[in-house]
Amino acid sequence: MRKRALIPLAIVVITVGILARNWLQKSAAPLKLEYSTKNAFASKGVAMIPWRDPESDIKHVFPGATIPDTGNPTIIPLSRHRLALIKKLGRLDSNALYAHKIQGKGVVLLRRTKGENGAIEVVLFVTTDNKVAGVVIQRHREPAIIAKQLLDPAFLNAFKGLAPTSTFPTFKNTSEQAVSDAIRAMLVEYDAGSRA
Amino acid sequence: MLALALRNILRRPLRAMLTLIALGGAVAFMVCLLAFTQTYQASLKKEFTGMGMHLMLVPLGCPYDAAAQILKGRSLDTSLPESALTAARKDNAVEIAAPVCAATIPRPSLGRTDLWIGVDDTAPKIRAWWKLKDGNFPTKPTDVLLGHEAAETELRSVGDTLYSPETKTSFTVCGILEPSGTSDDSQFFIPIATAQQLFKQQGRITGIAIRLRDPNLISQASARLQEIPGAQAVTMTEMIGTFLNLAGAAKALMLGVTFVALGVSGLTVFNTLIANTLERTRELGILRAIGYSRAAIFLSVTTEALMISVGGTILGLILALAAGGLIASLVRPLMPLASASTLVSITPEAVLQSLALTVCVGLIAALLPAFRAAMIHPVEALRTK
Repeated sequence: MRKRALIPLAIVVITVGILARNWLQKSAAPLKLEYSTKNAFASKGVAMIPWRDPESDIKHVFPGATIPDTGNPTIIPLSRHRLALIKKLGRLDSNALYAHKIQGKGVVLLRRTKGENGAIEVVLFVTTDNKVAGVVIQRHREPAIIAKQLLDPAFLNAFKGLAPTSTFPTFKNTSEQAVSDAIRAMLVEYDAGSRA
Repeated sequence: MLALALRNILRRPLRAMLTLIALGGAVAFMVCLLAFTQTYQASLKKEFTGMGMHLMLVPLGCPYDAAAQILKGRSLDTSLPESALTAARKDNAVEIAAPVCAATIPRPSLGRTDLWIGVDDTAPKIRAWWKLKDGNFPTKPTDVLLGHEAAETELRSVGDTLYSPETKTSFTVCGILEPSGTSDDSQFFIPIATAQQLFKQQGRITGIAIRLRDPNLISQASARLQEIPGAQAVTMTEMIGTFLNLAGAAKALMLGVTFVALGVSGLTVFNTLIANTLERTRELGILRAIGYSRAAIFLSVTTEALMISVGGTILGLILALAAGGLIASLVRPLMPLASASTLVSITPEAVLQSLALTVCVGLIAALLPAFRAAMIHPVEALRTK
């Protein structure tokens, strides 16, 4: 008799389980949407950028270093430092940092920032003591005259050795300033996230 | 009779459970397939109806390929003369003729292609799904309207500048579209004259989307528009037919697999019933001896098969409900113009069709065991141990 009762009981349990799962999924969905549209995270996806040419970039900044698995970055949560970071930077582009760790050298961080004529993607190399080791511009939409300034080694080298607490250079050109702000934001966020 | 049949099934719960699982798996697959086909057809018709156009004028060549490329916002190797637009607009049956001049700018280092689409003021009228999130439609030669995803990728807002390095042209973002789930989300829309000039297509257009005053006149209008030199007309009905044919080939293959699965399930039901009747030979003999007719015994075994079939269908429906999303996510990338909404929506029609088929399979599988049980001779049966 007990064995007989098991079959309908199993069917009931499975049905209730499926209904409960569907109900939970439905009731959880609006919460997620609301969270991602908060003003503090307005620029959705600016921190999750593909690293387009790791071989060339690494050769340039960390020669001889092993190329990491770019499809599997380390996620550094920033949620615990959200208020402090917004206070310090004025905004927080993402709730997490995606870092590509380079064995024995440091990490690589990427950010899409708002240039004058389109998005600019910045690749930032950070040393193990949280200082800028190098900067690469991997994508932009700027006209030749601004592009020349952005890709000028003098401009890119100006950030080398800067720490999260350093005074960052200011620029008249919107795109150059955007790159500078993005580098500072990544450095400060990484410093906060990695110390935790 | 029902209680007796249920008791007989539950005598061997493990055997009954395995039979139910086999049958349930086949039913789940079949229900998902039927539901998917019905939902896909309905959503495809909805997509095309929602497009607000009845036919397309494309350059000579493979009309379906050309129309599909234009619908996806891609450029073509060939183009139409602008006189085709004037001729189309002169046709009395044509309510709106919206030209498109498309150009693709590959950016291999970035792993993407920029899609620039030249449109005129008829574009918002024929693209029923366009809703402005912010700003206005392009009016000035240097205005650009961005799809939602394009604006997010380039971090642009209304009033910002957008530079095209390949054509060395600066545009002002005049508007941003709401996300539509179509390829428009990633495109840059500029005035058609600007597109023709930038992409060296003066006097040429990629295609014309046409809405008719009366959709019932589509055959006559299509025949007339076909006469425009260098152009051919593709109706949306023909497009639906082509996509459904593609889906039909995949459906035929999947139906074949379903029938094999159902056949195997039928054999499982047959195996269960024949084993049950063999084990119960003596009991069936007693029933015959105390007055049960052959018909009553035949009916008893058939009822068992029916109960297994119905049970298997219920289990299959539960599985289909649980796995519908997974199947949709697997199939979506393979289907042309699949809807962004639900792909596998289980309809009463799909449930009834699968129930009818499963019951038939169950009854066919029950025929031999039921006949064998009914033909048992009471005396011989009582001799068996």
